[in-house]
Amino acid sequence: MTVRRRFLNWNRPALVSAADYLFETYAADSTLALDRLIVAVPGSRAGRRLLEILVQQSAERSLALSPPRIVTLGNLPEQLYASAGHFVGPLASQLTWTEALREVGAARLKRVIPELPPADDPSRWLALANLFGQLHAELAGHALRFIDVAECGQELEDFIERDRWLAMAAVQEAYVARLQAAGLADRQWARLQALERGACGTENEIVLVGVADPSRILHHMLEQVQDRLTVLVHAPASLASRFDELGALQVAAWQAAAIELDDEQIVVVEGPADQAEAAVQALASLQGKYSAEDIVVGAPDSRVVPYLEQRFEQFELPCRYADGLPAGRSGPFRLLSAAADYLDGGRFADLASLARHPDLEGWLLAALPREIASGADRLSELDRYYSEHLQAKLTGRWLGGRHAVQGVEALQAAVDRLLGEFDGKRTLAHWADRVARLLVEVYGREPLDRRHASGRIALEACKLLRETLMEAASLPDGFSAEWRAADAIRLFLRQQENEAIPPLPQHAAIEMLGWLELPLDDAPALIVTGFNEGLTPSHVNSDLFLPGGLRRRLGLNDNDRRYARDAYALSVLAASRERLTLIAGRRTAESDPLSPSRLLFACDRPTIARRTLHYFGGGKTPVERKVPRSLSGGRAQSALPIPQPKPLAKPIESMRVTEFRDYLACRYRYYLGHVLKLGCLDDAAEELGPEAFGSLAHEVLRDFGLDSDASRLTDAEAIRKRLDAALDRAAQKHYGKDRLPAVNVQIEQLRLRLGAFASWQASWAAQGWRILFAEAPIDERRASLLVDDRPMYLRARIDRVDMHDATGAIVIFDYKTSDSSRPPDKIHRKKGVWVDLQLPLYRHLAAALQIERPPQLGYIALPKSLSDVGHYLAEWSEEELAAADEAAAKVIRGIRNQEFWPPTSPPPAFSEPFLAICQDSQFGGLLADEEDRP
Amino acid sequence: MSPLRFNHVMIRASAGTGKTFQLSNRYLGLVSQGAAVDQILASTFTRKAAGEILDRVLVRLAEAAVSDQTCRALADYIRDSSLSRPRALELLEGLVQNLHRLRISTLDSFFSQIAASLSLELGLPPGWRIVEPSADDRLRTEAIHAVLAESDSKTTLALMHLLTKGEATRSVSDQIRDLVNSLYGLYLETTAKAWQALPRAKGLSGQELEAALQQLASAPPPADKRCVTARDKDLERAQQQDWDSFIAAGISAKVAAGETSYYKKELDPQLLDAYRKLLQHAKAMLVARLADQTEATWQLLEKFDAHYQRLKLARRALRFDDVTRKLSGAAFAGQIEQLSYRLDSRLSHLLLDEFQDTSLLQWNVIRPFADEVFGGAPGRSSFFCVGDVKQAIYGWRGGVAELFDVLGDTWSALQHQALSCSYRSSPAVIETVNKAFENLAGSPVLDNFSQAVQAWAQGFALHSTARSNLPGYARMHVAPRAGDGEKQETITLKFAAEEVARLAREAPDCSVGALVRDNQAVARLIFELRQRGIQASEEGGNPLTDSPAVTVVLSLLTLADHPGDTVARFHVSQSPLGPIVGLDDHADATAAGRVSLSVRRHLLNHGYGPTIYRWARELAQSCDGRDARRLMQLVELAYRYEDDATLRTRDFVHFVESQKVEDPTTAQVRVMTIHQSKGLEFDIVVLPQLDVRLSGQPPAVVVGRPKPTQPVNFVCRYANKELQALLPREVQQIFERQSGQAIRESLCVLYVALSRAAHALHMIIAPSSSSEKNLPATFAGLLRSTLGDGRKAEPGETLYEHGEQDWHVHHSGKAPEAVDKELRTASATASNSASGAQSPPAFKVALAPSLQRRTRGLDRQSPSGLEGGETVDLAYLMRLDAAGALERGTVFHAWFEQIEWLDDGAPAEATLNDAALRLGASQAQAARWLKEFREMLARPATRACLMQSDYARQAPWSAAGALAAGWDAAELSYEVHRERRFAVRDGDAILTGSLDRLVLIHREGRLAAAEVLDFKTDAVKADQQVQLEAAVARYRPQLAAYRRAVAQMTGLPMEHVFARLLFVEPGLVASV
Ligand code: SF4
Repeated sequence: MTVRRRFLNWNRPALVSAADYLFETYAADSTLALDRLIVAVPGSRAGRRLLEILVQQSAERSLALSPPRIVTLGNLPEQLYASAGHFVGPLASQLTWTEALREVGAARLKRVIPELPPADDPSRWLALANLFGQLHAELAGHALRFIDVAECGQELEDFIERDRWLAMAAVQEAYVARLQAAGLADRQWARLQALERGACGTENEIVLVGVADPSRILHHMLEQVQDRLTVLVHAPASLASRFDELGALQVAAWQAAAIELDDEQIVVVEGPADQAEAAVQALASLQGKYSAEDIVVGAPDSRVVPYLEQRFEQFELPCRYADGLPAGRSGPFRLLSAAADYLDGGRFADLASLARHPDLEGWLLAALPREIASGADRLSELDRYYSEHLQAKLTGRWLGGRHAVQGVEALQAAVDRLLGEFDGKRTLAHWADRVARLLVEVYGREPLDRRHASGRIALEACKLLRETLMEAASLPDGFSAEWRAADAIRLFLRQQENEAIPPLPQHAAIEMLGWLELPLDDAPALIVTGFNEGLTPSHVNSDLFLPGGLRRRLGLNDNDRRYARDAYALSVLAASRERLTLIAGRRTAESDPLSPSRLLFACDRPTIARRTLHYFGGGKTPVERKVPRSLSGGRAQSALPIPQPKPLAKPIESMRVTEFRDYLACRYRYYLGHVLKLGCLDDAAEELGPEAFGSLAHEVLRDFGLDSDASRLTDAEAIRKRLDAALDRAAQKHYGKDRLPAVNVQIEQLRLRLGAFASWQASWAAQGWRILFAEAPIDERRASLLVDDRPMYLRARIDRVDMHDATGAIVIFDYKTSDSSRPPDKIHRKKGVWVDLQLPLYRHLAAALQIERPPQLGYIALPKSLSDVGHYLAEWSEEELAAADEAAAKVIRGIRNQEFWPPTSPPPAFSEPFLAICQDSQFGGLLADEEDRP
Repeated sequence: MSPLRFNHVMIRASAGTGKTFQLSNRYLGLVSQGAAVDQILASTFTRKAAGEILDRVLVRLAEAAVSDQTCRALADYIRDSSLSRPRALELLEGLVQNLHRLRISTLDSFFSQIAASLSLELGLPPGWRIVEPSADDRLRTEAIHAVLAESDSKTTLALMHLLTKGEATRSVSDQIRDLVNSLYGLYLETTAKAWQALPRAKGLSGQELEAALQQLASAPPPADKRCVTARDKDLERAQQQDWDSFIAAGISAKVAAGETSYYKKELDPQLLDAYRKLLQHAKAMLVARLADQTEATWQLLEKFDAHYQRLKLARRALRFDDVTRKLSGAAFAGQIEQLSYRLDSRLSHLLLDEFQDTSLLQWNVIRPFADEVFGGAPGRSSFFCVGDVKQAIYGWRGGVAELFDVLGDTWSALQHQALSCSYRSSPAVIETVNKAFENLAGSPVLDNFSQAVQAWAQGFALHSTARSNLPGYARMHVAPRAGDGEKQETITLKFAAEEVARLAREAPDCSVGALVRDNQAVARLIFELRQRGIQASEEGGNPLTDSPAVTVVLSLLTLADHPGDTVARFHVSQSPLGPIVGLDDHADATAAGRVSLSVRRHLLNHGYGPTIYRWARELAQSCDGRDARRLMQLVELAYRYEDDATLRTRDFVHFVESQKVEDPTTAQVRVMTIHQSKGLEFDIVVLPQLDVRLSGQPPAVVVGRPKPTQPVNFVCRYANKELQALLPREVQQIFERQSGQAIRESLCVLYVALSRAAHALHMIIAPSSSSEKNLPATFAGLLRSTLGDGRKAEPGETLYEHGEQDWHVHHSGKAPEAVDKELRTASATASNSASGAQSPPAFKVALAPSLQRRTRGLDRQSPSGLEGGETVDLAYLMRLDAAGALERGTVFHAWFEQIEWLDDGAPAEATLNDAALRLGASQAQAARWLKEFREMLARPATRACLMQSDYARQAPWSAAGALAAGWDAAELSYEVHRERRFAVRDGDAILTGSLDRLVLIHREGRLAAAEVLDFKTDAVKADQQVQLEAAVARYRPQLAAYRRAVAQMTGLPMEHVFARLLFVEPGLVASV
């Protein structure tokens, strides 16, 4: 007996017709007994839908349904032969390929891989293993071994790669042999062997539905069970010649086939956003005739999906993309991957990442001691600790005060406890167990609710991981190599990270499906986006292993075959849908050019010319835009004003002398910074910033200045020694041993500057100057400026006051550690106008230090150019200083009057922190002429 | 195939003369003569241009196919008189059906294709991909950290010192990053030797130096106080080894310049001799320092390279340049065979666009193909390239325009053509271009660079225009002078903004391009235009942070990463987003922590796109059209970002900051840099930033090559004029050549700028400074000398004018290419609506109401999936020991399936054994389990379930009192189903699965009841009541589902369907 081939009316959906066929053939009395039937469909979605139809219709006809076994094509072969032994899992398979690669030896392998990865780089070997695994699967699907390629290829005129394929064949043999030794079977190989032994058979009846393009191996296997086979071909009988006896496509016939489409069904637009817009437009043109579940949107190009989702959400169109979330993006995967990174080097940055995982944070809240969990948030503490101490790693050598450290310490302790069992090298089985426990610890504190997004995602992700972990836990004896935990975790994650976690099933949603699912779908309205060349149909010309020519020779899935498959699919869609719209783009989001699909040109020649002009011509008639392009703004002018200052609760009664310049630069930003005390906090620093660098220098110089003998030294070398020691102390105190490497270099740079300072200091002291005060703090109400008869108290930390032994002259100095050195006047006045008042104001602080004579004012600069290290005195006249006081008085009045508006525009230098609040970025790069400060 | 009628040709095509047209002619000609499309490579540099070529080719053919006249014209152009409409149609069909075989692409994408098919040979990691620049930046940062971490700080310090010329700069990472960003490309192109090529001179030995210093101190200076002081200073400098100052000032500087006197006083020979010795030493020291710096640069780059390459391999992340470099290094010559095999086609025809921008590395890759083409049988292959050395503005990116000249020398078969007739510009513009460039050599501004300029001028042929009737106008106009405290550049730009605004208003149907030199000027000009009511669009666009609405969202994301950032907190809390996310007081740290966590949670569970869209929708209420558009673009970026998302929200913030996004509206006025304007044209061009130096910025390093088209063999850090003077003559020449190169490139930039205009060209320059003596060496200076008469530029003056100022009045408004209707309507509405609340017409998509009872897309539920109900106990789910149990369970289930009733004995040993082996059990396992199976069957409860004789006595339906009351065992018959599959509708789901054992109880021939028996292989112990109860509870939902299924299948009421669990290990039965 030969195959029964039945043609289904393609003006109706395939599955509906197929169900009809089953009812006609198998319904009896009150039953529809299909339990002896294997129904094979191309994909699992079609299988589910067929079952739905069967259930629905048997209920309607009051038939008791014994459902058939519904399998996808991928699983059909296993129904056709009896396999012996266990199939190897993906993990073991990958590991076996790796072993096989190494086994054949470098000499042979180099014919395939001229540059072998280093032996100790498991990830690159695994990547190669994957490459082989994929090739193995593809070729075996066509009933080919690597050795066959080496042999067949020779019939090609320009086949020059026999040696390469022979080497690969050796790897493949080694792979199979290793599996066998481990008591495992490779699925592809088992099929191949069953086929070759002629061992395919079944006791069941087999019905193929819409299987137009079975793999070659399946085709051959089906030939061996012909008498049990019924093939339902979704095409009119008049097209019988385009199918072979098993219902598979005759490639040549489909290549020449014309596809009936109206020009109105085709929309060609620019980018992906336009495609989404066209899709919305197409939906609108259905005019409410179809409900959401009667509409499907095809998305051969998954890159268009986000645009579709976004647009649909905008118009409140419910939609559901079954390929939803790749597992790699789910919480559990992200958690493990961040954990692996942290395990890898214990870097601070990786801890900071991990600590930001919301699921981990949830766990932490429960795991931390109550008093710490309820205190300030951990992230800020981490940021603060990092900014202050610039640690590359946290090794338990804590810096700074106990109190500040507590939270960070507890956090790290908790994380380390969680990851505590992950050191050393152990077997994969061991790590699988640890990973499972970790997941349970973090996610299993409470039952997961599968009806809620977060619960469902975590659950599905854990289930995916469980598959891998289970395989790892029960790997046969041959796989006992030891791994580092981080590598093992990454290996586990890689197995399933591209699997999709489908969204919650949703009643009444527009489904978005991939191209392959469309032919067997039965929604009456269909909109296909991404209808572009390279996707529908896809093509392979050049290739690492199987370029087009070789594919053609081997009868592999070549371009002609891909075209035929999609030509058939499109013909089915055109025939079976009530409404069909095809949308193609002309470029990707990254501006790569795209062409509309060749399938749109499977028509008569005049139509080809017309469509060409239309799709490729620049002079397209612009379609009138009905769909609003974007979010519609609610107003004619944005109502996002810069927040106005609010009246102060308490008047400002004291100021730091350094604040004046900020007020002079911008009163609003002064308000933000000094009144509201707003500031950035992050952990982005790669090295000491200007302020930290300055503080470190100041601290060293203060230590030096406080030491009264030191300040009298006139021997540069001796001074340098003291400074060196002070620098080492300060660096150790603030930055410890685990500081960022850049900091080390910076400290050395500072040492050089201090060295130059030592020389200056020696000669300065030799001139008879000695240090009177170092870092003299003046706060509380010790000094003030009287303005309008009211005091404004001044606060400051004066870096240094020197006195001349002989003359009793006094100089007040400020240390400057910025890269460049500029004399005080350059910094304090611009074009004669006071922009900074720090030094002049020091005069008013002198009294608080019991200095009676009018002091001189100046800088001691330690700039990058060592020859410029030294003192720079200000030479302002009394009138000039009086003008400075007047300027200060103005500032004080302004502050008393709460004049904090408007912001200076364009923004002054150093206002980046407030860029967003002050809406400065419309100036783009206008924040120019920056000067080095402080 | 008959030989083709095409020669190898190289076309020098001036601006606007139709390069793409020529290229498409060539392409179509080849196709019409039967060349296979996959043997033709047509390549260019931008994706946009590649798209345009394809469009051109197809559209021209299609037009020829529908119109006789066009067809004849095309036949002429492609020199194929046999071309008819039907033939054109046939060719078109051939092309569109081979879209997948066309090779019309950027060089980058062609190279990527090669690299993909040779990745193992090239040593590329499997699965490599091209990454975004921002991802690459992260890799670079990581590599820099690794460099710092690896070397001890002393070594790094020493290197840093050399790099910063002895200065103790604070920032280390930034320094290295700058260095890497500017020089890493060069590093990759060169060998260490090139960086050591600067010849060092010999200095004095320690003793000699001592002696020379002695001599200087003791030799008598001229008896003049100034001379003595100068000598003393010189001596001090020499003693301090301050050689820079030593050669730059004092007597030493004079002696260095060859003089022998100071203040007209002759110097004593002894003294002169001392100076000469010391100068020689100074020179040696300074040159040595330069050489050391250069070498240190290389060393640092080498360290960086090692880490960076390692990271790239590990992440499989490449840039296009990496691919080109790999290919360039692979030297394909002789391997074309293999390459063609992998590419699945042999290239016979090369069509290279914008050839002047080809880099040496790129040329190395193409060259073997070109060799093939030239070496091929005549008429079977062809070479075609088109370009314009006058538009070579990508030298900084490696473009080597000199390749043009080399081609001719290499292949004598190459024919040369030149095109200088513009199809773009009006006579007024063309004549201005001619005037600006024809007399370059005479311009005093370029005196110092005569060689470079001459070479450039030689390449300039007078232009003509085919559009001789096009009205037009050109003018050079001087901006007002800046006042005190103002920057002249700003004033010039403000003035230009006025001009642009005026021009746009006067000629509302014309496109206006304002072309500047740098991005800062773009931003400023856009800002100034906006102040004047002109919405200009920016080519390439700006980061989205130019919208205050976007920055609010970014602040929220910053806050998510750093809840302690009070700036972000304040910004969010004061924005409309504050109340939405629950933050209204920036001082509330607890709330900030909560918001931070909730934002991160949302991003993780729902993705960046949907999360940000939700905020954007709310924010849009407070936005005008532009801000709403920008928000929308942010949402699109967010959707695009998903694949790269990390746990750090700041990474997204950086990503947004690094992405330039064009405002989707194309406005009448577009602002861009001249580089970006290449390939574009505008009705009116305004050039407001002409006061920049022709020589550009001094480069970080100076490089030399034996020939322009040969690899770099000399690298030296840049040295200032004084230092240059000390270098050997041949090195000085390299410096000079490089500055000549810079001048040539500047001329190209100017040429590109001037030639963008179709109708009108407005050049706006700053007034001469009061101290101006000579024409400045700037673009403006040059134009003043060639277009004007070289006189001083006074504010407000017109220095040059040509054509009709009111040309646009005569110009019958051609449809503007890019005027945004939406924008205009938007602004119209804006000005009309006083209240500011503008309600756009609501666009709604109607769907039919959904069926109450759904028919499609039902959820699939298997009863076993219902274990535990709606919530799941993860600890239970993640038991890994279940792996083995599963397998064992499967075998036991299969065995129980063999039993109909036990009354006739257990199934045969052999049958069971076979079944086990089929399921993958080993022989040993099978034997062990069989023994256990026998024991299980012996357990009383199990037997009771499976013995027909015992069944009725203890079955739940019989124990269920009411149901079985009055039933007579004799009336009953049983029907046993094993592994019975079922599928039924269960609410909104389909319940499907299979029943281990289903017993249908018939009474008097009619179905009366049913029982499901579910076998469980859980390891529960007979004496562990609690454990048993927990297990039963877990399975309860599953069995309930079975019951529902059976009720539906059989039509029995639920009360007549029963279910029991049989724990086969302990032999316990539980009714559920
Ligand atoms: S909506 Fe649900 S899943 Fe989403 S973030 Fe909130 S709690 Fe998590």
